This record gives sequence, structure tokens and C-alpha cells, in this order.
Amino acid sequence: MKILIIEDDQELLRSMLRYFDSFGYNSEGSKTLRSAREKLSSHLYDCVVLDINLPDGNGLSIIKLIKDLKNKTGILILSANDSLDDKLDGLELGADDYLTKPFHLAELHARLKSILRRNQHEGDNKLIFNEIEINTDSNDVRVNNKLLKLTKKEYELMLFLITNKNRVITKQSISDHIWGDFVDMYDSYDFIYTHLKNLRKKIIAQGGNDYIKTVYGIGYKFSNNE
Amino acid sequence: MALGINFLIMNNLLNRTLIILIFSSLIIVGVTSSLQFFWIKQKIEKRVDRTLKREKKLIKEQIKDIQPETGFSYNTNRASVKFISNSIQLSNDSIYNGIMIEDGEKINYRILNTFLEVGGQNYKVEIRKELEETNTFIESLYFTFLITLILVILMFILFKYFLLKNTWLPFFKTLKQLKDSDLQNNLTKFSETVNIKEFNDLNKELNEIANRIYYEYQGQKKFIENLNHELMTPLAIIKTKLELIIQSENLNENDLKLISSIFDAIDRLTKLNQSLILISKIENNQFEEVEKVSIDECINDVLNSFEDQIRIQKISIRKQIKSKVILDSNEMLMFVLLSNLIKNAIFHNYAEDGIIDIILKDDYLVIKNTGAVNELNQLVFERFKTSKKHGQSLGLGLSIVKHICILYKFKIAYHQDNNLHTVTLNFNSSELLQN
Repeated sequence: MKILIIEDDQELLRSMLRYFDSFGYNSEGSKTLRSAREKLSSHLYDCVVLDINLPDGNGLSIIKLIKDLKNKTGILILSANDSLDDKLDGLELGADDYLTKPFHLAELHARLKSILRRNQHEGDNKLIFNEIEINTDSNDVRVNNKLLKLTKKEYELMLFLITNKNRVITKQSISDHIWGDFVDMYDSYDFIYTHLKNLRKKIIAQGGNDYIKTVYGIGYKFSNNE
Repeated sequence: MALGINFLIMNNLLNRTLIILIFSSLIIVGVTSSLQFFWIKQKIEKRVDRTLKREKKLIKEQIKDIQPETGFSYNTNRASVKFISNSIQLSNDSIYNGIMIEDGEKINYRILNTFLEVGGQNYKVEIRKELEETNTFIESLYFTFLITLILVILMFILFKYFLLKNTWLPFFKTLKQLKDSDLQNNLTKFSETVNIKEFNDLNKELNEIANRIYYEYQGQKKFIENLNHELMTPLAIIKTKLELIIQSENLNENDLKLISSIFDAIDRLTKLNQSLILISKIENNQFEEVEKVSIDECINDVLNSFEDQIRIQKISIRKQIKSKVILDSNEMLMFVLLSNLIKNAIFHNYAEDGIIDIILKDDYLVIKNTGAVNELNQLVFERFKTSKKHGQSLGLGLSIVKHICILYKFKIAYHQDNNLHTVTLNFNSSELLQN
């Protein structure tokens, strides 16, 4: 996956590049509109992460540029301002998603993957992890080719974990992912624990392995090894 | 009728003036007319008395002329003369007012009682003079006073309307402008070209105050907005760096625990910021666009998002929800409003087996929940006030509720009956929220 990240803050840009590099993606950064325009006109990207407020102008103009290029480039807007106007303007112009700062890298990654799946229907609708297979078109999960009966939340959890496989995922990011920013939850970590417990049970019942590891004190990790 | 009631009850500036004027004119006219009445009456009586005394002399002459025999007496309308025995002590003259009945009519008289000694004989003489003319005169005098009074009062009322239309008009204009305008969000300008100096001065001072309120508020608002937004990028940096750090294999459990509490703190800071931004947006009317929001659907969405808590706490939700209750509002705000109210009902419920009743009708929503007695006996709408029970809560939920209610002119009321807490949200109320 080739990603262009347009973000004027050096450190935030570095964090994102490093996270995506660890997945083996080909990611690049731009700190100004000008350099972003140059890069977009000479390279083809699968996804663009776009900060709206840039030193040399409003990032919304980039959306127009990308749409004019008529590639299948997905666009995710990143903004410090969760104002409805920016969101509506951005989505109206053709952005695929919108994420407000501060965000979790795991969440950003999950959103980008989801955009990618929606934009390019070329076998990307299947995520396979050993004996586990997720079909994102039909929203079902199979273990050893046997269908799992999952609740909506369990399915979302599963998808989130597998998308960020082999990474430590904080319970905070899981809570935000499942319940969103709107709902000011309490006891949500207990609920995560309960949902994951049920998910584990269902996978094991179909002869799957327990890949959901608890990382004590901080969260969970979906991985093969110890 | 309405005017009369206003006149009696309303204690406003001009009515107060009018009442003072009318009362003072009543007193002046009353006092002067009474004084005049007594004065005129006295003058007239003095005259009448003189006439009576002249008449007395005349009668004396007449008796002398006639030289009547012992026992003489006569009685007419105007006078009576009676012979009395010499042994009776003669007293002085006395004059008084009396009433006599003639042909069934009461007639006022001035009466002189006197004794005469003519030719060694004593006579008791009573001379009367009719006062009817005088009374008629005084009556017409009263009548004139009354008419004058009515005219004066009418003039005062006219005067009041003249004042209202003219002299005080700029004052009332300023007052209305003050009432109608939102000084914090609109730069209000009061006219400085009114024709009365004091009101002109008043408006000048008000302009200065309005300017200060507007610019200070706007500056403060901008500052808070910028601060909130500028905070987001550093928070994002901290959050993402920590997320990278925890991928390291070299961290032990203690390190991870410490980092997790940093994540929690960042989340709290973020939520706090988002809530404050939301409140300032509501205050700034940044949710102008309204859409048709289905409240019944919104309630179901909220309940779905809390399904885990509801299940764990074994809360029974009893719904009496009318479908297709549509309000012109912002969907996000309605969701925030309802989720805060329902969250409150779950949050302050029993740890297990509580009940929540949700009743939705066209123009109101009632949420009843079981729960421990709330010592405050009221909802706390102020920012940062939280119950001691839950340290994690930011205490902004109800403040947001309050602002949304003000925005849409909903009326919210809280009632507690032992362990039953009732929140009523009235959609169709133009009254502002009472805190």
C-alpha cells in the first residue's frame, strides 16, 4: 500500500510514517500543500491522509486535485477541529473518512484499510490469518471454514484486532473504536474484556487457536507467537 | 378594563407619575374646595345673621306699635312671637341652623332665638330665614369643582400618553434594545442622537459598555477556541508516540501500566476539550442548520449504544414511546442530549436490577429511573460539578444538556420522590430553563 501523509507537524508525521512502515507500507510525508501537489502529480497513491490546516493553505483544495486526477486514491481527512463544516465540506468534496486529533494510530490504520477495501474491490475483501478468514463484504468470520456467529461488536473487535495484528493495541483505542467518541462510556474496559472473552470462546469452539493475547496493564495483541 | 387594571397594578414609570399627579391634584382640589366652602358658608351666615338682627329690631318696633294685651302671640313661617311670664329669667340671643318640614319638603333655615322686653312685658321671639338659595349656590360650586377635577385628571392621562410618545420614547427604545439584543455576540449600537440630553448620555455610556462586553467576550471566545484546537496536535503527538513505545519488547508490566494511565489521562483531557468546544459551539449558535430528527429513533440509538451497561446492571427498560416524534433540530445535538440524560439514568441507577421508564409523547419526554436518594434534590447543570461517587466523570454532561435546552428552548425539570428520579423534558416550551 502506498500512502501519502500531508501533515505539517514534524513529530506527528514521523509517528504515522513509522507505524505504517512497520506494516511494510510505502509511505511518504508532505508538510506543505505545495510539496503535496508535486507528489500527487508525479506518483500514484492508494491513500492520502490529509491535515486540513496547513501553513500554506486549506487542505480541502487537495481533495479537488485528487478527484481531478481520477485515480482511486482514498482520502482521509485529519483535523484538530471537529467542526461540522469542515467535515461536511470534506466529505462533500469526496473525502472518504474523517478523523479528529488526537487519534490512535491503530484507529487511523483501521480506517485507511477500510477505505482501501471500499475503493478497490480486488480480493481485498478477505483478511486471512492462519485458520481465520474474515470476509468484509458479507461481514462474516470463518474459522477452519466454519462460520462463527458473532455479534456486531465482536465482529468489529475481531476486524480491528486483525487489521492491527502483531501490534499492542490499547484498551483505550478499542473502546473508542467500538463505542465512538460520542458516547462517554464508563466501565468500558470491563465490557471489552467480556466481549473478547466471548470471542475467544467462539473461536476456540470451532477449533481455532487463541491469538488474542492480553498485554498486562495496557491492552491486547492479536498474534501468533507468545 | 385592561387599562384600568394596568393602571392599578402596574407600577411602571409613567403610571407611577400619573398616579402621583392624580393624587396630588385630588388633594389640592379637595383642600381648596373645602376651604372655600367653609369660607363662603361663613360669609353667607354672617350676612343672614345681620338680616335676622335687623328683623329683630323691626319686630320690637311692631310690638311697641301694637301694644298687645297680655298673652299675645303669633306664629308665621318667618317668625313667632310668644308672650312669657315676667318671672322667667331672660337669656341671651342664640343663632343656629334648623330644618323645618313644609309640604313634606325639608327646608334649611337659619334661626334666631331671642327675648324681648316691650312695655314691661316679656316675649320670646324666634325669627327664621330660609337658606335654600345658599345651598343651591354651594352645590353648584361643588359641581364646578368636580368638573374641574375630572378635566385635570383627563389632562394628566393625556399628558402621560404625550410623555410616552415623546419625552420618554428614547428611554423606552433603549430599554427594548437592551432586552432584545445579545450583547455578547452582537455589537449593539444605541442611538446617540436623541433629543433629550440625559437619555443621550445614557446611550453613550451604554455604547461603551456594550463595546467592552462584545470585544471582551469575542476575544475570550477566540482564545478558548484556539487554545482547544492548538492542544489537539500536541495531544496527538503524545498519543501516537506512546503507541509506538508500547510496541517495544523491552517494556515490563510496570512500564506498561504507567503508560496506560497516561493514555487514560490523555483521553480525559481530550474529552474535556471536546466537551468545552461543543459547549462553546452551542453558545455561538454554530448549529444553525436544523433537520427533521426522529426522537424515537434517536432514543433507540442511544439505548443501543448503552446496551452493555444496561445488560450488566440488569436494568429493565420500560418504554412508552410514541413513534414519529419529529423535532426540527440538529441530529448530533439531540443524540448528545438524549445520551447524556439516559446515561445519567443508568449511571445513577442501582448497581443491579434497576428500572428506567422512558415515556415519549409529541411534546415531552419523561425519563424515570430508580436510584439512591440525591441529596442535592436537583440536577446540577454547572460545569465541573460531579457527584463524589464517580471520580472519572467530567461533570460536563449536564452542562451540555443545559446549553442544548437553552438553544432549542426546551424546558427541563427534575423531580425526586424517594428512590425515583424523574427528568421531564418539555419540547414546546418557550420559557427559558430555570436553574
